Parts: sequence; structure tokens; C-alpha cells
Amino acid sequence: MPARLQLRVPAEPPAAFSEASGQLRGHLEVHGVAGRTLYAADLAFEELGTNILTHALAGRPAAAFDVQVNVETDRVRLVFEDDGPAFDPSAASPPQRPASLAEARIGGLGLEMVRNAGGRLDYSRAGGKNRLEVTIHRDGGAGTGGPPAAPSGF
Amino acid sequence: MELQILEHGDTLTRVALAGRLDSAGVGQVELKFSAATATRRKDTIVDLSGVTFLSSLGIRMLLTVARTLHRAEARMILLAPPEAVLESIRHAALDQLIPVAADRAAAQELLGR
Repeated sequence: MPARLQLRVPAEPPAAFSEASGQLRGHLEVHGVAGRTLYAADLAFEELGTNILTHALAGRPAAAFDVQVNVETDRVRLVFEDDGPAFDPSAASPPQRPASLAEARIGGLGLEMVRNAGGRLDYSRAGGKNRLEVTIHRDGGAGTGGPPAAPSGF
Repeated sequence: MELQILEHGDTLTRVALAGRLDSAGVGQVELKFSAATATRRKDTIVDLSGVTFLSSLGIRMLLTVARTLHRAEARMILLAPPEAVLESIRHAALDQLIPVAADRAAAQELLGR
């Protein structure tokens, strides 16, 4: 039986997002998630939650998004739901890798960092909502995530 | 999120960041960080040993300052990030643009000092 946490994160005030992030980490730690798995789940919440607030809920201070967190024996799953315009982050192309600082594009790194930290993204759209499931595998019961992927660049 | 200015010398800036460089942390520290580093246009060592979490917004903050320094022909070195933070740096390929040093001696060497 997975240990489940349901969070509703309002677009305003901004402190609500930080508070939800703290609740997520507390839930994971209480249920024995540590190390890379904890960091990857923390990163997924930060990056995907920020994307939802910045894009899907932009200009809608009364709106909110939902996150369900499931801690299972071999994995942690975070399921994000929002009622913003359809957007599939799992289909986004990896950012180009710049050859130098001068060429570096600022931004667009979040999804790639989540993927490279071991998060698998599965998107669906139903009932006017975006549903994004992030799965992070645990290993050996030590609370660490699976081997991170090699960086695919900016 | 905290910023500590360790050295504001004639040729070198040293600062230390501590805490979570997430959206809230970047919001707290970004202007102060830029004022303490980019506007001085000196070679800069950023001690990350007290940083516990690094998001893409944190990376954007570091990259923005490094690019400003680069245009002024100054360099940035990231110093002693904890293992989890170093992984985030590598996952974003930031270490290919901004050198990372394990200790201060290595940072000074990268700056040719």
C-alpha cells in the first residue's frame, strides 16, 4: 500500500509553493525516502510546479494545481494535474548544448534536469486537465535513486 | 537563502551561498548576488559548499552572472558544491561552461593565481 500525500497548491501567495515543497520533503523523509531519490522528487516538484505556475496558471491568482505523491517500495510517483491549456512537457525537445558562455541560452533547463536525475515523464490530457506523472525508481532499499542519465545538454 | 561576501579585493571577488537555491531562494538572493559579483567585473569564486538544493532557476542565476563576467573578461569558478548539487550542475551541463573546483587552492589555480 503506497504512502500517499495529496497537495493542492494555490497560484497565490508564492509562499504556498514553498510550503507545499516542505510538506513533500517531510512526507518523503518520514517514509524512508532519502539521497538521490529524495533530491530527484524535490527537483521534479520544484521544476514542474514552477512550470505550471508560470505557464498553465499564469494570470489566474485564484487557480491552483494538484499533486499526488505516492511512495512505493520500488519507486516514488508524483502526479501533477492542472486545468491550464494543453501542454505535454514530455514531448519537449532537449535544449541545445552551447559551445560557450556567450552562446548559452538562459532557461529551458528544468525538464532536462528532472529527466537526467532519473525522472520518467508520462503525460495525458483528460477532462480539460493536464496530467503529468513523474516516476522515480528507488534502488536496493537504500533510499537512493537509480543511476542518473548522462546529461544531454542545455 | 543566504549570501556572504568573503572578499571584495582589487582583482578577486569571493562570495558564499548557503541554503536552497530554488525559486524562493533565488528570489531572496538574486539581486544581492548580482550586485556582489557581476557589477564588480572581477574574477569571482562562488562557494557553494552550503547550498543544499539547486534548481534550474539557481542555475540560471549563476549562468547570468558568469555571462556578464565573461563579457567583462572576468571568470567565475564554482567552489566545493556538495555531491547532490554537483550532480545537478552536471545534469544541466553547467560544469562545461563554468569550471567547478573541489577546493580553494584548485579554484585559485583555475584562475591562474
